[in-house]
Amino acid sequence: MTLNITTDVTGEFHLHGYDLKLGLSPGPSQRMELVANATGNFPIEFHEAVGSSHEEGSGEENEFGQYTLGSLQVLPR
Amino acid sequence: MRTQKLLAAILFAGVFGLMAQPAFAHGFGQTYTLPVPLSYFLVGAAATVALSFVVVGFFVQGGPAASGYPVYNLLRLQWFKRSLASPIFLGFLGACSMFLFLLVFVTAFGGTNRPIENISPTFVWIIWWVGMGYVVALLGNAWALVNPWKVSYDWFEQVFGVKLGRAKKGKKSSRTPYIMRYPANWDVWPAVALFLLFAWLENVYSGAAIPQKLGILVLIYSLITWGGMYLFGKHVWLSRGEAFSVLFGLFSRFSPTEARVKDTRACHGCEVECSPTAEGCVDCYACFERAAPEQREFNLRPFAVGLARPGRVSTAMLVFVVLTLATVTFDGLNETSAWNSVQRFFQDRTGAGVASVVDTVGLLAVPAAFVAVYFGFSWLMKRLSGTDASVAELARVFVFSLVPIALAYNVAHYISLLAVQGQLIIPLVSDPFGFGWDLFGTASYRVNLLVINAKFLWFTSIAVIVLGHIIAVYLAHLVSLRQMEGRSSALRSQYPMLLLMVGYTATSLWIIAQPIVVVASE
Repeated sequence: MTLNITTDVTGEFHLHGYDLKLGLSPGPSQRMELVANATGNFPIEFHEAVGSSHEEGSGEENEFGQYTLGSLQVLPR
Repeated sequence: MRTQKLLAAILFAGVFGLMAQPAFAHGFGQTYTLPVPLSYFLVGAAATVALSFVVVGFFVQGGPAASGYPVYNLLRLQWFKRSLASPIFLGFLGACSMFLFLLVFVTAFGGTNRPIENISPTFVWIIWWVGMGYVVALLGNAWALVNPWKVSYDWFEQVFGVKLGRAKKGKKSSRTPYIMRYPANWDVWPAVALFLLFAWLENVYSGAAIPQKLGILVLIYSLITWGGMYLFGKHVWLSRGEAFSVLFGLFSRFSPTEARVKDTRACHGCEVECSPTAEGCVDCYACFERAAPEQREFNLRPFAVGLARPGRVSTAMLVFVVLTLATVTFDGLNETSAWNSVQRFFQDRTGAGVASVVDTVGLLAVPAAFVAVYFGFSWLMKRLSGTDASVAELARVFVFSLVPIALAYNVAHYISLLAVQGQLIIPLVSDPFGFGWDLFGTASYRVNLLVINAKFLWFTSIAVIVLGHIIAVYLAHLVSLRQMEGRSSALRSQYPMLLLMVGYTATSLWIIAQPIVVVASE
């Protein structure tokens, strides 16, 4: 399957479980392709880039700009 | 690889909402389970009711005697004695335990603070907490062998050749060899309190997966445990105050193994006041440790019969058991959309950020509701059977028979966490600190989602829960035959119990049929 994603802010699109990440920036839509062979309910998150001084490794997990967009449900046949 | 037809939908798309604060910090302990479909739920519920009547019919027809069960002493086997029961192997287990215990501290304080890149949260919450629960219920009380607080205490005594926590000889007045006499009315209340605190950390506190905070929590608990053993005596604290020894001891009553001391004369003056029967002293590790080798038995026994064993059950123990049942249920309940609606109901009225308050109230309210419902049914049991025993006494006697339902739910609930998230341990052993190491060449391992398929998971969950229910109904009948005067009185007492168990099992089934909340949209 293919996901076409457009955004108005720079950041990273993250499909959990399959653990696919796609860096995004405003502009034309970008594609994420996957073979949905594993069943389950997989959250989709968007991690907004925080300025230019993006600090990795901060222990606290409430980092700024993290949104749950929804989830991808793959049901068995 | 098109084995699955895709029925994919992006839900709640485009909604930038407030995320429901998960119990664990972002990304850790996340499961991808799909709710059990209605058809599975209905078949499970129907089987629960139908098979209940099969068990009842079995007892109406005659059924087994009230007491006793077959055992086989594994220590009679020379190969068993020389391998699994040998001091070398047991010492090795203890050494592994100490190594992992130290590893948790070293990585929690010295490694990265990101939960999924540090080995300590995955090891503590998934491998140990979930995995140990499975092991003690399905094999036997391994915790009694590998409990790192006990092992470290024993090691310390051996290395320095001392007996810790003995009172000075001059103090004759106290009736205990230890520094302080454990107050009899404390019973297992310290374990109840510590377990409740643990359940709160697991289900409500969001920092429990953050390595440094986890390290501090383990350290605090270690000090409490060592302190308790030092002041009141090792076995006294382990059997009354150490929440995990009490909990895993409870789970291991379901297991097919037991430690037994044949000659109960050794139990006189037992420091933990075990209650031996004519058949021996079962699972009292104080007596087992003290007994002469030829008196010790390590027995195979049928599953679950340990829960129907006679013996005094205190009010504190009753509360501990009900608390276990309730927190296991709450653990699943608080991930459902139904619970999320409750959270949002309060959030809308009081402002955002109260999800953890609602969870805290829920964590206390669910056990309270369990106690109330259980006493209600115990009252019905008394009325229908016409027994002389009080309602509270009936509640105490029958409480262990509910444990298989909770265990079954626990197993069903955690299968995918253990099978999927548990795989994280593979890359983490190569890079325990999150420093980018690759000690064993497994650091780049990616979690394989295909190990567990939704249909397999649904079927297993339902089957396990129904099986747990049947075992519970069976145990309650066994207990009733021992407790009640006459078979007909015993059977009458079981109608309310049966109703309660069907209700409890149906609740478990209902929870696994609920959608798991990933998002809370505003």
